[in-house]
Amino acid sequence: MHITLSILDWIVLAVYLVGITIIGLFVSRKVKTSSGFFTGNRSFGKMIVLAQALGTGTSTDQAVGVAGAAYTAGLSGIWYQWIWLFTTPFYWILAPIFRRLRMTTIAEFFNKRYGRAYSLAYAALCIYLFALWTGIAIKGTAETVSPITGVPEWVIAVVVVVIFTIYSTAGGLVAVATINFVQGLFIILLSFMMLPFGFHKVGGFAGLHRTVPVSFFEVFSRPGGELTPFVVAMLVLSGLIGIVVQPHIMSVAGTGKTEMDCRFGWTSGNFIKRFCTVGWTLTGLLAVVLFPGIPFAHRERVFGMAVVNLLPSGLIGLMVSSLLATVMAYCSSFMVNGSALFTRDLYKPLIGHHKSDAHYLMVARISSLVIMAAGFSLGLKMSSVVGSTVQFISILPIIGIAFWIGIIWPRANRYGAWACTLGSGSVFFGTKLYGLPNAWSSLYCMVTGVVLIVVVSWLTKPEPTASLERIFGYLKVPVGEENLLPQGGDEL
Amino acid sequence: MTQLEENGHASLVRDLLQLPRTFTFKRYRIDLIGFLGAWAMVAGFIVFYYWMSKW
Repeated sequence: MHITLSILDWIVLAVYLVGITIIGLFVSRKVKTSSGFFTGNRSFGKMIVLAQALGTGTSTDQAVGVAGAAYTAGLSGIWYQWIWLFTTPFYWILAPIFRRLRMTTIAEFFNKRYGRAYSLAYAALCIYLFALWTGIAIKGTAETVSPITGVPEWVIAVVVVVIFTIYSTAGGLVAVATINFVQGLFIILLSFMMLPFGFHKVGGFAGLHRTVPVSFFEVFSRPGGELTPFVVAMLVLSGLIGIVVQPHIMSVAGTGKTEMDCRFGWTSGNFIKRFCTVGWTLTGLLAVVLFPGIPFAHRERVFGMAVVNLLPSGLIGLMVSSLLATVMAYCSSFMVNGSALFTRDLYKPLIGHHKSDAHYLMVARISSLVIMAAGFSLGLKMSSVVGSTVQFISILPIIGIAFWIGIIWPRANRYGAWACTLGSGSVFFGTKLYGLPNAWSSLYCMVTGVVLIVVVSWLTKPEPTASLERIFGYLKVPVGEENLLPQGGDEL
Repeated sequence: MTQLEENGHASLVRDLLQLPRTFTFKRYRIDLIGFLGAWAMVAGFIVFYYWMSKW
């Protein structure tokens, strides 16, 4: 094993790892209930929601993937992440919806809106997605950090998993959100730290323009290229429809103390991430000059190569800390949200009715460990980080349509929701098998989903009024006017 | 309509299908100001990116 870090780098890394573990365990003392574990008792202020949005939404593999895409596609490589730029304004108007629902998971929404079967299917799928996302993130980080440090990938994966498991299992969302506040600063560092060194080496932007082909400075790919305007438009539309059913969305957008905390934190946290994405793209573009000739299949290695070749001793340790911070913020949040889905939406209705809160807290902690272990195993089997990201964005709208229609049209019912999800899913995977590109498959899938939910809901009987009241009655009542809620007894 | 909703806290998303009947700026004030402000940010990002590509 060839270790490339200096003593100073190792010291920086050790201080960071020990520091966040201590902070995580310290704030964990406050967590005594399952509600505190899953939602932090909805007591987060603007800055914590912001950090939570930035940390949960950002993973090392995204930086690595965008830098790799920019290496082969130029500045248009940014659209792998900037597809979410056009969805970000909608977070402002969506945040109160999640906060007013006063629920812990989206599966709870589906249970009240479309019945238990739909909710169970969603919860099971999302737990799988959490494991898959965790796997992608761990794989991306291990692949990047290993060449920098000389430490084998599996050792890095184990260290990362052990540390975030310790604080997440102990402190749930409270520990995760608090640590994400620290990790957020590291994410910003990670995004821009290499640029001054890189630009100095290539002779600034003028040097970049002299060496890199003109097409690499086009904001969109040319027709036939990797990211055409049509592909970007379809990814944006899929992203907007799918974002509402991302399984961790309730913990990001629905845990603020007030609606304004949720709006401001979720939206601005994501705008900060969009800005960080510019840094990742420029890193990939610099790599075109610094490391020419890397095959397409290995393009995701350029980020790590830039770290080793550009940064001085000490800053490499800081960069490795930032890479680890990013993946830990991301995975720890998924771990807690996955355990919420399992405990509240699978275990509680199917196995453990009417148990004590301490029992559910214990189940949450154990299930978070299992989900993390599943993600760890899946991570070792992933082939391409970017490919997996595109795959996710395409799958989520299959369910997202049912959520969107479900909050704006009371007449939508469970039959329509099932028809929408199964029909659009069949169209998506059918067209993929037929050989259609992802973007066209997404378009056909979304059109099919909307038509099916509307037509089938019209032709079948509506949902019971009591269930609708739990959704639409609550959506009418802003946070702060709980005395007007239509029914008591719900956890707020 | 609750008092907060009357004074700018009403939700554009929840009321989407009724907007032709219910829309007033005052009622959706917070949604509208933030939403338009966020689109201005998006425009700013894109202008910045185009400008950067011409450096």
